[in-house]
Amino acid sequence: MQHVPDIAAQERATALRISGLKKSFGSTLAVKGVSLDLAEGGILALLGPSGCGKTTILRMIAGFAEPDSGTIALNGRDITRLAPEKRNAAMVFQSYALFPHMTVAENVGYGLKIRRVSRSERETRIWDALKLVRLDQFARRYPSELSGGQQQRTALARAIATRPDLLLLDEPFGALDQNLREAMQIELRKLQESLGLATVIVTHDQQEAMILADRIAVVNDGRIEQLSPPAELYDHPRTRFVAEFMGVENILDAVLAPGSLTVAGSTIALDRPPAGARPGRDGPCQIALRAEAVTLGDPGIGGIGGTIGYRTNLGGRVLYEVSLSDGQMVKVSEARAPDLPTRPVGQKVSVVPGGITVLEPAA
Amino acid sequence: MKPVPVLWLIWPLLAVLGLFFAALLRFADTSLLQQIPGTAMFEGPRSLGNYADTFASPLARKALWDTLVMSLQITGAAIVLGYPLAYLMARSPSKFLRNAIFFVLIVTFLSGGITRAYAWMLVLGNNGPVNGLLREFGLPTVRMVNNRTGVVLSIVHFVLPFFVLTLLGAIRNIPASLEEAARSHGASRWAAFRDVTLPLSVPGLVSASLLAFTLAISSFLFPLLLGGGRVQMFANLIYDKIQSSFDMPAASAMAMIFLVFALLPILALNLIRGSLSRRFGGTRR
Repeated sequence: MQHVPDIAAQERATALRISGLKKSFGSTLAVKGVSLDLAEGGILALLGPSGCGKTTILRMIAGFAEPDSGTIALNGRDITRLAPEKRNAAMVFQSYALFPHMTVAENVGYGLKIRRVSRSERETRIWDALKLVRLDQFARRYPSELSGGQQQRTALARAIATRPDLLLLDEPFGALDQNLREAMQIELRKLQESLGLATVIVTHDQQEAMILADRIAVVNDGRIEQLSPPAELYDHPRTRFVAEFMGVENILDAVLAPGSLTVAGSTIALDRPPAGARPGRDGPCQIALRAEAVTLGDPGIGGIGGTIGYRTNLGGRVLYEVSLSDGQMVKVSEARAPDLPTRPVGQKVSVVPGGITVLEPAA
Repeated sequence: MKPVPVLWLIWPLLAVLGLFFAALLRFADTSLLQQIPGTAMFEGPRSLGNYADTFASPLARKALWDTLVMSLQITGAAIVLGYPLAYLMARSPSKFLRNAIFFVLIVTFLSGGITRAYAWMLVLGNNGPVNGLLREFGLPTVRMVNNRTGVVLSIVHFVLPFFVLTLLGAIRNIPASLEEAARSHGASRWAAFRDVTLPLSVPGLVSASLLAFTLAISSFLFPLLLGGGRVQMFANLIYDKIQSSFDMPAASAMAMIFLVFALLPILALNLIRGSLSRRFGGTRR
């Protein structure tokens, strides 16, 4: 269920279609009915905390775990019970899983050798893949002679050399340091776009999902809580879990009425219904507010009344903690510059919310 | 108080090792002397006569050859039986199966040699359950005790836990994700094993095989009890030389020859081990 239809994705054919996927380990239900589509050339992130079932979903797509029920189809072919080697879905592992007894070139050529691709064709494709990841100078090295980033690129080259129908990435940047990680993420995104390779990536890092994916499925407790394009997920989380996971700073108790919203005794007029509001669902609710979408004004300008309780200087921004009359607290992030005045602790202010998102009540 | 230099700690160790080695040297020296006929004593002058006698003796040559052949057979059987067991213990998703194999091996490990030797005599004997079963089906019975079959079987049983537990560690150190990576790139279960796990387990396989070979070649108890006097492994021959002829110098010479033959395969494998680990890498991730 999506808020905004992804028109570009709908025009393209479906590469991967998962319906009603379930999996239990012993008496624990790890995946509780997951359905999703991935368009050709699209890149989907499965985002969630550890133990949420995202890796199990990926392993079922790869063929390393067998679902209890549900189906997985790749390019219209049912692959639910197919052996991993018959799926043409290449996986890049968190540990890279490079073969330590083979050189970089042998690693990259492994999938081609297994498929009995001729030697000359193999050489060409190994070379092409290595050039794509800028490792052509390292073809004769062994994996133990490479840096972490080079190992990661080798694993990627090995996966794309077979020209798979689907690329699966399991926390591929987890072992890299922050700077290298960001560079590699952007590199991967460019590579994926130029190859037009349908890709599923598993990550627990929301920023990584934002950078890489054109759609993100937030997985919680074996279910997809929300499946949306990154910007929509960021701006308008549907549930409290998604809001917290996407780093929304403020989740406030409020009362919704037609044309207005009441928080901590202050009522704000709304010219249109906020995101997530459904007709006939007025009354007490929870709303999500990003700290950077909220502004502070002087009392009386028509916001939520409050007092500045704490101020943190973050360099380019200032973070205020504003206490409301009912004891709730709102975090507000404002730009800071030498010529802009900042507000002192204890000052009475008016909080003017923006980008209000009404959250679905907990099930 | 000044700390004791670490190098000083080596002296007690050297003393103990020296004592062990001195015993071996004394034994080696004895091999050059001559028995005083009719006694258990020996005297000089030193010569290589005992070595020449041993090599000239058809009985000793046969025992040496048989011992080497049987040890290789036993090592081969340990590889054939032990590799699948070690692999299952390392990789099987069934906890029950893993524990069952472990339990059976450990029980074998802990029961003493004499217990096992007599157990094998009962099981393999002419009136034992194996031949009983054959008889039940109207098949001819097989003689399995007091010959090489029984000796080899019981020694395989003896070395198997050592072999499996040594190899198990090596296979466990190979990440399972390597095989999964191979399969996700198009390799069948068998091809993934052949191309990835098998070559990476070669160093462990070599260690486990060496251990099995060393244990097999120095067998004494099983040929003694299950060979019925018909199977002479070299250790038994040396024992007889001392116990029935009281010829300590001849026995020492045989023991030295035996030592060299036992060390040869170990030295050879150690020499090529460098290139082995180069070819098959570590299991570094």
